[in-house]
Amino acid sequence: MRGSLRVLVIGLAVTFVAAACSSNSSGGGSEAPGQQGGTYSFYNGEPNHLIPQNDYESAGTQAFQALWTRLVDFDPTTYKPVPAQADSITQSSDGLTYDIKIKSGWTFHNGEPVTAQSYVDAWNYAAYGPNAYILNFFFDKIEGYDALNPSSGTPKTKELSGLKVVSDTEFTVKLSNPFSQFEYTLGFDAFDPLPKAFYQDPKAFDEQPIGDGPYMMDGKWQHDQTINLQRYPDYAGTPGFADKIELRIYQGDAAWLDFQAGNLDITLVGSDHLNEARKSYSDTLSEEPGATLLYLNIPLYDPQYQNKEVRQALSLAIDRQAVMNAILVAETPADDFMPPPVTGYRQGACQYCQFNADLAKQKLADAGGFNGTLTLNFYADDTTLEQAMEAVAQQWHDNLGITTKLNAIPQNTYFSGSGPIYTKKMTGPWWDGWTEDYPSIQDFLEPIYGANGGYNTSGYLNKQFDSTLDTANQQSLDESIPTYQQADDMILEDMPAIPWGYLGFNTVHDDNVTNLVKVPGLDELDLAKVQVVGASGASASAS
Amino acid sequence: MSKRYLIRRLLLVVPVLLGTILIVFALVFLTPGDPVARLAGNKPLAPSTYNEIRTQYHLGQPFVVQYLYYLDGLVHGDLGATFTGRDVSSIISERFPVTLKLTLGAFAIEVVFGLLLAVVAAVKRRTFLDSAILVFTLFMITVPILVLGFVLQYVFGVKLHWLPVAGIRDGAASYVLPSLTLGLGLAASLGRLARSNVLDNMQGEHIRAAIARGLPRRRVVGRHVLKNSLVPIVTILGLDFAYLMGGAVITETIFNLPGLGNALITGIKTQNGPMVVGLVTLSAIIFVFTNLFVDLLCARIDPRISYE
Amino acid sequence: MSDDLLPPPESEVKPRSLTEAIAMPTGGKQLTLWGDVWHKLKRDKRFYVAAFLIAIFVLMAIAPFLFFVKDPNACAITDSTLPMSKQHWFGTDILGCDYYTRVIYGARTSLEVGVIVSSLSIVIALTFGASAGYFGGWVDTVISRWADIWFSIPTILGALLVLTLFNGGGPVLVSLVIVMFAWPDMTRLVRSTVISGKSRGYVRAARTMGSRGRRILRRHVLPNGIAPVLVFAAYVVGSSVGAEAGLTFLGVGLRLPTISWGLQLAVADTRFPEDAYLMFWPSLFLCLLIGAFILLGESLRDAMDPKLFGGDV
Repeated sequence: MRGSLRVLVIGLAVTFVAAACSSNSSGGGSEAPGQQGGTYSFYNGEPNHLIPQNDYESAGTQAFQALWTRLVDFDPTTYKPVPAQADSITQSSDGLTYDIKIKSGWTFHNGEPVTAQSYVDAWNYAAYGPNAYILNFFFDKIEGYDALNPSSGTPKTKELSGLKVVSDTEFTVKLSNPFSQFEYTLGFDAFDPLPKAFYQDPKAFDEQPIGDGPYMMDGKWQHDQTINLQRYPDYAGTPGFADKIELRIYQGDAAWLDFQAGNLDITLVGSDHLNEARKSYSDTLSEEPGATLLYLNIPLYDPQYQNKEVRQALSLAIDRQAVMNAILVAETPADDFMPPPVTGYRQGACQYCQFNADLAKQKLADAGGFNGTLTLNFYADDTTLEQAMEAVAQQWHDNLGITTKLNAIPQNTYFSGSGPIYTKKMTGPWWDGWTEDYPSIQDFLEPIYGANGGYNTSGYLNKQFDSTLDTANQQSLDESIPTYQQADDMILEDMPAIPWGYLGFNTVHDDNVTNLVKVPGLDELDLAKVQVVGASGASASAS
Repeated sequence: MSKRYLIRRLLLVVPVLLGTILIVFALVFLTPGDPVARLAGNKPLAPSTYNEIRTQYHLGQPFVVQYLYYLDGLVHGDLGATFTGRDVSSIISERFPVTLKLTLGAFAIEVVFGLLLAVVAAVKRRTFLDSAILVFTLFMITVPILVLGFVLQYVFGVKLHWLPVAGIRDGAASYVLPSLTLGLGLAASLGRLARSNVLDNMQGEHIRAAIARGLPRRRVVGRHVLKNSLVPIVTILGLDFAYLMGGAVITETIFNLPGLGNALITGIKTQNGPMVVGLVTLSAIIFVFTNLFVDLLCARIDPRISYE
Repeated sequence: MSDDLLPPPESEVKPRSLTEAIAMPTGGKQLTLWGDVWHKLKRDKRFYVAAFLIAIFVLMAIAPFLFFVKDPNACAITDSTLPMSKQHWFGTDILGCDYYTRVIYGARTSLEVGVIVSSLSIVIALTFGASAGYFGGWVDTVISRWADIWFSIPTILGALLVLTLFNGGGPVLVSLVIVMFAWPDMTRLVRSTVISGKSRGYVRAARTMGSRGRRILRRHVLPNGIAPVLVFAAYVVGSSVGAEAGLTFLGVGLRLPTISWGLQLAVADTRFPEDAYLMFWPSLFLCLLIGAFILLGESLRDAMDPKLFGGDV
């Protein structure tokens, strides 16, 4: 069982990361319009919530992909934001204010019009501290956030001062500081609109959410069983093909067996069964790198690891491909600090990520060797990961002559605020990962290695790196990418962490469906584009 | 039995359950880690969000205060909520029927197969059939439940398509393989035990006398032997029933059944205190009352058992 | 006089668990001659099968090198999941280790768990069970109610909770945690046996002759209570080996680099049904080990129970 780090929240339930890509991608969405109709079933995990502002794992976002239409989607080749529900987004010359116009004539599934107010109210609600919504932190770049989230006491206002409704279809967003990537962030579900019905009873809404996407709920969310969707007839965008979609909730391996038995139309394939899928389902299997970077983080606060040549040696000494052939089959070796479906990714950028035992030995010798035992830390209760870590430790031992030890830490403590990562008490390199919130190179640099990065847990500090990021943040979106890449170059030399691999988004499907398309830049399947073969209202799957 | 005895037994339930809750609560409380921080994976929550959720669940409070909050909720019929805001009581009421159906299915298999095997083996003792049953039951007891589950699932679900593989979409058929997984081992244990019990009773003088009198063997076995073997068998059945929820954990995981065992695993792994305490307490309640029921039933079957 | 001082009602001596029922004497037997038991065991085929298998497993545990094994840690990731061959009798596992070697080495861990759990259970049961049964009164009340609380939590659930607390561990810790929830079974058994033994003539006689309580307990009551305990201990070995495998499978038991059948099953689970042999071998060994102890328990029980052997079984 594997788990992505964002997904790890619900851990066990969702076993593989969601990310999507087109199988039969050559055909893709440009094919002659297929016929509508039919029902199909797709693997999903049990979401934490079905309120976009209160959920942060892939099972939820996969459902939101069909239930809502986001302000922006991403370009399939450059991964830059393109307007979706938004009509246009314009940045002011000082870079602080964004003017967002939305398309008119759109409605929620209950018929209520989608207006600028639907957005502003939803954002205010999520940003209001006492509501304790999980995605609250997505709004911290907007002016007035601090007033809604005081360090103590009740906030005096319930509205972000940076949000202004101009008309039914236009509103403006003022940021506290310029942030060139703000448009990217609008592609995340935190920024989806909510209808008035939500505020009357958020708890009931959670059981049967009302969005503005191509599909609406078909009955209530049946916890741990299914989320049933049906096509929304009055959808103003491109309508979906299938009449109904059954998002079937599985834990663990049951989904793979159910697919093999012919009871499930589409499933995701993780490391455990990918080799088998390559053999038995090669014609419908699609494999593409998803939006997660997996890496070995390094305790830079430990003197042993402060010489960059030690870190380079550790990275050079691992034969990533060998481990991925045998164990972590669903991963591909990392060659940059961010995965391919991200603006700014450069293939082969990481020279120290190539397996080279001789160079590794030499680097370690130059650095004066490694004293004592190297402890490799990872989270417990993941058999496949445990095997992989054993293999990595073995390679360090064989290729560098280092004595190694494995240390499995419970998932409950691993990522907790009082755990060894945040308190900087890791005893050696540790297994880590970063699932993007938006497909920009910035999301893989600043939060992890920036001086004020929310997840700078290695203690990396590089003033030149920080000032380069500052510059890029204040540029326009297009200008900023090469500047971010300069910052990337600095850590590619410094190696404050060891990039390991990219977690694939791999799907297989049966003969009942066709035209599986990945949502560009995100780890999701485009549910609306899936066509049911020979559909004329005939029920698809089931047993 | 006397009413006084019944009342005493019922009163004893209270301290036992309070103790159980306390132990489970303490175990969950002592587990290191931070369930709230994990709501966003490894990404840091906004401090305001984090603090607000911790306050809602009394997480900053000392152990005793949290325990009292829980008991207070309990007497008001509130079993608490998960960290994703769902009421534990609604989760339990949603999932209870699933586990109950699985349990009853397994129980039926245990009773029917177990007793059948026992009687056949005992009556045909020292024949090939007896030996075959003994070997078969020994195998069923020893094979790990997870291996049995996977094999049944693969053979009858994936390969032969006879029965559903996972979930509960297909009504009663969905419960056949899980019930077999859970029930076959129990049936085998019961069968072996009941066989020696039946044999034991067949040595009894009144049985020998009955057979000597020329009564049909089958009738003797049915009427007299089984009846005399009933008390220990009922006791075992009661215990198996009471413990079935514990056994359901692995079975429900394999077959993706949305039952209580599955919820418990999720609860433990996401460190969901109220859910874990609620489920284990429920299991203890079922256990205690099944036990009581069995004692009363035994007194009915065998009047020689007296209760003071 | 409170009713705690009265002799316990008959009902409280009846079996409270499957294993207890199997182990409990079915007749009012008094076992005085161990030689008699041995004599009966010698005629029981089951005993030979069990003894043979257990001997093999014990050898595996203490001297694995006798079984033509390789270095269990000589693994190459490039040799992952090779099929059976002359070099690798059971093939190789995912890490490329010789699976035959790893399965043989697993016997040590399983036996370790079985032996620790059963011997600790015996110690606890003989201490607390015998005290509760013999002294009765408040001693009995305290011990019995305390046992009730732990008894009401199914072992697998309780162990799951506690092991989560400890973040898994080695065979010793896993064994201790299993004991934590399994001890009430045997304690209750000893208590019942002592209660029924206490009223026997020879105990009364000893008492009237002025023997002190502790001495009577040690010299007369316990030796007669030990028979069902031994039978039960054999079952405990089997069931605790199974419990370890289950807990490890659920992710809270043993961890690498420990070699255990439970861990092998957990790994095999991720590759089922493709690499089914990964599941087959540890399952087979597990079945044989547990089966051997069940047979041992059954043959012991029958040997110690005169009633069953009176007839034509």
